[in-house]
Amino acid sequence: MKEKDTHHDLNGLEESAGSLQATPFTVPDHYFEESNRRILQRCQHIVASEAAFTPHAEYFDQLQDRILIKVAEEKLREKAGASGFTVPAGYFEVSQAALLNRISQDEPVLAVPPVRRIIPRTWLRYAAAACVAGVLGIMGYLGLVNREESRLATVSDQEILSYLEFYGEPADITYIAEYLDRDDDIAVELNELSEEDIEAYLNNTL
Amino acid sequence: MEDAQILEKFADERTRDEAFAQLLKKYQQKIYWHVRRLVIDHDDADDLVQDIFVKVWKNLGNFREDAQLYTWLYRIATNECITFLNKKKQRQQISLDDESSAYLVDSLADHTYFNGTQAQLKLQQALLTLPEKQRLVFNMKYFDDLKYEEISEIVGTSVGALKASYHLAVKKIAQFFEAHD
Repeated sequence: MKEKDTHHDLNGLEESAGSLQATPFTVPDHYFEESNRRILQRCQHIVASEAAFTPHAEYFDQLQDRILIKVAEEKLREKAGASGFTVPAGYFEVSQAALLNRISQDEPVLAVPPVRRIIPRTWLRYAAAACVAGVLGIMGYLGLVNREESRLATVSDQEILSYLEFYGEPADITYIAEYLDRDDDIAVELNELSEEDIEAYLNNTL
Repeated sequence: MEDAQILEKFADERTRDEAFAQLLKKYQQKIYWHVRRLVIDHDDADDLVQDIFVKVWKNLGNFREDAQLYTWLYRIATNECITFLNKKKQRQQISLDDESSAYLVDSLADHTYFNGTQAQLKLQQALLTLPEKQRLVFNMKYFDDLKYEEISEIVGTSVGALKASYHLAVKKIAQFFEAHD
């Protein structure tokens, strides 16, 4: 069937129905602004991804050199891929047995040696406990001094100093020096100490 | 056996010897060849490998598991080799500033336990003309096929510097081959 000339047929309706050429479709509110934004965003992504794939400025200058090095390396592998060194027959078996025999006489170190560390909050407890120990020590010493005086008199000052240097803990001096200028009230901390804490400290240090 | 299993067993006193035997089985040859290529002489390599693994035995308990076990082993081995080579230089009254490995030529000329082709011998001769650092990097990349990142962890040098070292080494070796054809 031959198609009818519909354009002519609609001509008559134009005046009553307004322009039939205008699209009847609509778009969501702000569609075109949003669409513009999305298109621009995609363009920016394209530009950014192209930039990401662009090698640094010297890349192509160095590329030729790197390829030539790779070619030289491959040629070298064809000629001399291995080192050419050998070992005596059965060497690895004998060597492994010798090593296992050697280590059986030795003990491994299984952990890092413990490092004494005094954290800021607890150093006062240690210092306070040390004071208590000091007071007890002095009292004991004063009690014993008469009896020990004659024996100590035979020990030189240098020997006493050497003893203290050898048995003292340099780390403790460092820590105490660090906290010397603190304003904390040691007396308050001292009251917080339990007898168990003091006893534990004395057991561990004296 | 996986490295993690070796470490776990080593931590337990009852399975420590077994774990160490497994570690030896897994890494002894790799470490030997790494050392051998650096010090050239078999007897020197043998002594060093023994010392290296005794050191490993003593310190494996302190190994930090954030590093790979084999890069840790390579690092110990490399340090031992460098110390050994420096002592050898001093014995031969060669300045430590002299970077060439030419003082090892005699060990190579000895040919004991060397069964390579002429080209392999020439490659070793070429390697001894390189500075020690370049020789070290070349060996690890060319023979052990280690990644630059791994070599970087072993020798403590940046990947970029290692690449430059390796490329320079290959270039010099190629030139050596051309000159000695």
